[in-house]
Amino acid sequence: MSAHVHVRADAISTVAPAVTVLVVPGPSLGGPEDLSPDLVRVLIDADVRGLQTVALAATISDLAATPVALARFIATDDDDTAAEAAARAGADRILRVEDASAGAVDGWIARVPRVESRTLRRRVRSALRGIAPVRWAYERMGAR
Amino acid sequence: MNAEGQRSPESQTASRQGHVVGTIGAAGDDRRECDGAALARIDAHTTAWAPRTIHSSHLTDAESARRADALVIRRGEDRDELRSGVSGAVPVYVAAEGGSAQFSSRLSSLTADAPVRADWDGWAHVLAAGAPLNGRTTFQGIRRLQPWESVIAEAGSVRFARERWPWLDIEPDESARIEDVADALTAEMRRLADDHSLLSLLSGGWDSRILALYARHAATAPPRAFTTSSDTGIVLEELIASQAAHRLGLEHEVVVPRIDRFADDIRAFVDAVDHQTSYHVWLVPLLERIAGFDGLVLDGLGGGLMLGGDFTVGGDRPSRIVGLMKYLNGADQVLRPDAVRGIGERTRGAFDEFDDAWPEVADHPFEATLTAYLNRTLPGISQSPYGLVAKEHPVATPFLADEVARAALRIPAAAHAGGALYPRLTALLDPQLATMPTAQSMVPWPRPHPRRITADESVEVLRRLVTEGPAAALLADGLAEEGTAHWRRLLSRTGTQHLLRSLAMLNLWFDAYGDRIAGPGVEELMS
Repeated sequence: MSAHVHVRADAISTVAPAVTVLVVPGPSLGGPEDLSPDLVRVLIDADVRGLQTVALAATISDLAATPVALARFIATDDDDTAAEAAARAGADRILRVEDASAGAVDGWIARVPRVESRTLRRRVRSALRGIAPVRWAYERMGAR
Repeated sequence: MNAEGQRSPESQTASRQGHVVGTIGAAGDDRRECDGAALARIDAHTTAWAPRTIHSSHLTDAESARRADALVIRRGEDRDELRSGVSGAVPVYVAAEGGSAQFSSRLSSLTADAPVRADWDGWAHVLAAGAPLNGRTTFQGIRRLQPWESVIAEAGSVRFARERWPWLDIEPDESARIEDVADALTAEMRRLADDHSLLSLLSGGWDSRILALYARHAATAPPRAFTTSSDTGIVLEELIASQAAHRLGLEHEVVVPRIDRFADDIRAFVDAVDHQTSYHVWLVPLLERIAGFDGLVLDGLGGGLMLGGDFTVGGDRPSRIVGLMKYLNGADQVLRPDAVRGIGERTRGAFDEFDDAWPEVADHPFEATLTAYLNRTLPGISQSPYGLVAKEHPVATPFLADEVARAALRIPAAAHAGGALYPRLTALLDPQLATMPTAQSMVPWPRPHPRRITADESVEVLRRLVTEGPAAALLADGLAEEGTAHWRRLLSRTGTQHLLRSLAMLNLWFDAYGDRIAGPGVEELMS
């Protein structure tokens, strides 16, 4: 079972505290073509809280929609779209899924990585680096 | 009438865009300028050039034109003279030899087909501080004019002279008001809008927001706005810009860079800025997007210093100068120890030279502002508008317009602290926009997502550019063989990323000039 709680970004006005992933369908899947003020507000909240955003793309034309282009990950069930998305955003940000429709997200959402800064290792490191002598030592070590 | 007179239009407008190139102190047909760019005439002997239309109100005399940031070219029977503009932000390069000097707004125009030699001091400054300092370039024998500097060709010789820079004489005044800045900015926008439609490079910050607001206020047609990502790993920049554009009622487009174009973007950027800095590679896709749009690009250059109080925090002057060399923090992870030492020594020497060349700055009320302006904004950041953007578009930097800068610097330094003037200037036209947070103020820490430049594809592009070429000799032992994860860590941090981008630019410089390069090589940087 996924540790993620996901919600469709264009269907809400505020992001509930439990949400970890915002899903943004491409226009061919019923999602928004552009950034509406409400969607922008939701996406800002997600970014400030360090949540993941995943766009759903069924065709290459979906990739041109700004809400899709700004998402951290792009999930697609189409080979050509996957190849084009990788060329645009890098292979690491593409999720190849069996069904990219909004109703099938539960089947693969567990594959979305946790946000890097929220992993235990990063949180411990950040806390330690707040202590001046440890930060100094880190910098001397090159933070390897 | 000489060749200059035949080529120059008599109208009171200079080139809409393009570059200037020419020679002073030469005889006959060699004594000319302006291949591919029109000049504005001031009088029978004097012309002016800027990377945009010079408004007719600024063409009454040479001083007015210089205060509008134009390069003024004055020719006499026995004496030719170049005079740079008041901000110094528009790059004008000069190569003097014997009794004549070639000049150009594109450095590459001065190096075409000729042997070149690296200025290793200039390259050290690029690595440690972002760009060559004190009017140096990355080429020996080619200088970039400083603000209010002149080049005089007379009696068979060429000399450089710098009059006292007028901005040093601006007196902070307790009675100065933010409304004065607003009036100056409005007047500047009206002048620009008289001759151009306007394009906004809207980010999530104050500078571009204020320019868009005042352009909206002053121009008949609202500016069209474009936003791209400065690669912070998050998309707050784009989202906050979208909010601001909506508030201002501007047509707005977000341009998302493509990973598969990264190598091309780097090459396009360093070529556009003549290999003088590697700062703003991420701006290239946006410029490609607006290539077909007519209009003058508004750039927020200098806003952070003139208004925002940037670089004014922090104890004493020596520590602020160390701050300007911040890219050497962690340099031992990228560079071999003797290169770190050599680059550091050459750059510290440049700041000593700066103190000698600008003695008026050290005890100036805006010492921190002017030091950062002359050592960071001018040599490095200015290349973004006046190297890259100016390649295809007319461009203006209204925060550095003389009257705007004067009005801002008349407000005492303490009132600038913490960016306090920004919301006040915004609120004069739109109180609600003044309360909208900037992207910078909302950035979460630790950074939640990796930056685009740390994608595997980008890492491999930079690794190839850095390790394939003479600059590889400067690398720390074992770095070339380190895995992607190690390079990704280096690219996720500002200082080490800057060094790697700059080393890539150094190798691209070797590629571009190939067997025309003479003189000592990168070993000069090792001490």
